[in-house]
Amino acid sequence: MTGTAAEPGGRAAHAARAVEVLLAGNPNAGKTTVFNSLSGARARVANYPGVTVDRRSTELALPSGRRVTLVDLPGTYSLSARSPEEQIAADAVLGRRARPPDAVAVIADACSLARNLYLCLQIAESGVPVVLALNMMDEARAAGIAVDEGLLAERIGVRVVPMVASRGEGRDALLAELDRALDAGPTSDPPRVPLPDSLAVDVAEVEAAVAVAHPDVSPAARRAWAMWSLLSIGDDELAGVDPRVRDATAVVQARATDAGRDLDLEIIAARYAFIDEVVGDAVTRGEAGVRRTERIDRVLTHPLWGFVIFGLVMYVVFEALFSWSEPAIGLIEDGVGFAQGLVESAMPAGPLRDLLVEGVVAGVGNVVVFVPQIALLFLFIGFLEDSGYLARVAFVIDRLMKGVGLHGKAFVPLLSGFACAIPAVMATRTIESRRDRLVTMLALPLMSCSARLPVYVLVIATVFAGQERVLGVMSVGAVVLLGMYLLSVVATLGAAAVLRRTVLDGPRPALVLELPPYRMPLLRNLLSTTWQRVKSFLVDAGTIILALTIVMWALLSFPHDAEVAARFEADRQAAMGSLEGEALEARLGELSGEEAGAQLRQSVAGRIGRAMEPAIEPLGFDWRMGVGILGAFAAREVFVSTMGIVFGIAEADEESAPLRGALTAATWPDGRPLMTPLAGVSLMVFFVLACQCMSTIAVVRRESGSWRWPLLMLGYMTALAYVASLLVYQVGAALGWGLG
Amino acid sequence: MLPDDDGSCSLGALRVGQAGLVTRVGCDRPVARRLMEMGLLPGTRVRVVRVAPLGDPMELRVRDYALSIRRAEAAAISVRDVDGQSAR
Repeated sequence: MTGTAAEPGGRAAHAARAVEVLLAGNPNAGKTTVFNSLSGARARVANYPGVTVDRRSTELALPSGRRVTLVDLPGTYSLSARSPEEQIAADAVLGRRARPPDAVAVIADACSLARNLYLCLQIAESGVPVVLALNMMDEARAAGIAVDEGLLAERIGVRVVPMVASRGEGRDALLAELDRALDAGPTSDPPRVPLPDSLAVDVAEVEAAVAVAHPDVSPAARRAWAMWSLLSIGDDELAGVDPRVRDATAVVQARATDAGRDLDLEIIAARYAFIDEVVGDAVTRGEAGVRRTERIDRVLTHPLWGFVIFGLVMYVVFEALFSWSEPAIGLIEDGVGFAQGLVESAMPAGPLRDLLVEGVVAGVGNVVVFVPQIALLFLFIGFLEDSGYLARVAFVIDRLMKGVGLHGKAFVPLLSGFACAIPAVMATRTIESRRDRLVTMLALPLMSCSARLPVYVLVIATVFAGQERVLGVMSVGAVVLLGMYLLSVVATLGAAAVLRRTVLDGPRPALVLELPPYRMPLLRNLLSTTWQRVKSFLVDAGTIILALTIVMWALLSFPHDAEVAARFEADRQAAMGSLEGEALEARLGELSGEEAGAQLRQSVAGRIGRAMEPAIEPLGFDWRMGVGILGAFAAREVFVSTMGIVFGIAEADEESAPLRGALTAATWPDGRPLMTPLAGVSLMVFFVLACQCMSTIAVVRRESGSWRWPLLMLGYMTALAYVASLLVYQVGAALGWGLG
Repeated sequence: MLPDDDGSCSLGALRVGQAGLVTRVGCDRPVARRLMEMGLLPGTRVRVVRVAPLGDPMELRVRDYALSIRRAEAAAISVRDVDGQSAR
């Protein structure tokens, strides 16, 4: 399949099977820009099996007419450093799981060539045809760097193409060189890094095992596999390696350790010695003045100004999520209402119409309503990341985050959680370590999102209205509100710390962070990445949210009691007979509210609420609040409208005076007031800590790749909320506070 | 911090602006391997560019790019002080 030197890889073969070209390179080398410029809007995004890493690919026609599939590998510094991304790249390039690629295009940053060549060299060593794109040549020239491409090509055994991908320079040359590389096929004379004698013996020993275990792998690739094995196989398990290779590697490693040798160091040092020699001969440096990046960094990482600017930037991101998306969200909600109206008028009344209106259309609306915030957040994060600033954020904030066991790159997602957890959970993609990413994802829904605000507002306005001011300045309500937000921050950090020490315990990955030069992000890249995220959200999380909306609707609407319906119909007839005009309208509105309340009471949700009452009574909640909490699982703000229905008030929102009045007047069966300040605080504490959001579950499922994590999140948050509310209410009651 | 017999001290002991020649990367294997593959290996010139405002991590200049690592890792990396010569 790989072929030998005598068998050209080219056109005869390509007619039979698809030609595959991989796109590899260090992070921040412009690989995404190259991929986008070659794929346009045709890129397909899938998932690598078992990991939540995107697999982007596209069909492409080369100048010769040859059609290839271009697959974008994750950005990596090496084939052997063991993160999921590196394993994917290694598997793909070395052909460990499927057949090896027909060619690899390596995108390198010409300004930091040595480090970029380390990856390129590993790929070239395996014998695969390589085209090395020296990207960012404009920056190199500005820094006074000149590269002898011919010499570089000859010594590393690759084809070299200078590029400025952001301007499209070199694109055609790259495609032409890929054509030539594919024509030439795999080389039987790949670059051989000179190895010290003892190391050469070791590598040969593992090579022999590879030859036995994988007879159809070319001699060049065998050596590459052997060196990869020695660097990658260690104490922890590496899946998919033949036991014979594993054993040979273990024997060699043990022998080396006994002799006091460090094989990692020997291999890497040998490669870099080779690279240093090539770079020394092929690259000439001019005199570069203080770089622009250096100058910008002096400000952005300055002890004072750095934080000020950081605060401003975070404020802008936050404000964007909180308010700038409002108009778009409003439009979407109007659109959903309009669509619902259309369906209502087009269909006869009945369960099917209700299913479509309240289930399907509402469900689709519930999904689409998140799009403005997701799009905005990813545009911002894309800008921060591509410009290079996000790395500085991680750099500056790392010490704080490390204390809580979180990653520096977790800061932006956490902050976004104040607006909405859905885009925030998706934003945790910037965190490389899977464990750190999961911890952040599972803790950040505790951040008090904007959907909790209507609940706080309703409760505070009901129980804390018109009280004296604290310290003569702040109203009690404002203090309570602030308290809730503080509680949420403390809970988030605490949860992260606990998760990090229990369920997601493990070695904390060391910080090894590249601080790339500051660059102007390309709008095309930002839009393309944002669109990808939105699309994956709509398809993956969206289906779950739609399904759950329908389930919630069913719980709240069925069974439909015909007796109740008949009774209210009779009341309506009576009203129409005796009232007119405005009085009639008011009475009909009242009746519709009461009917909804009555139907809700004996729906599945209502029955669950009443059955739950003994369990939630110690928290200060009665069955009506129980139903509200159940309804709020669809979305927290639904608590308010559900309470409206339960109390028979149509069209209620948190500002609604009738609803507040109803709540204030509500009592337990024995006459005690229901909504006491203590019960109010208990309810708010419950909402701070509980996972009242099916959309969050859906997104965490999507981003973590399994149901285990969202279910764990649901479990721990529910338990936490229950216990906290219980403590608040019982301790408060024992102290005699806030009951009247 | 007193240098060892061969004049090595830890990378963490270098002051901002000082350069050194790496003699040993003594971190745990996964970290050491990652650092070395990214170009921070014995024989490499490294310069301390700055320290984060909160005291940790530090920014280094290594093989024509900027790399940030924490003091904990820097403490395990031995360098020979090559004052007077700056790393590129």
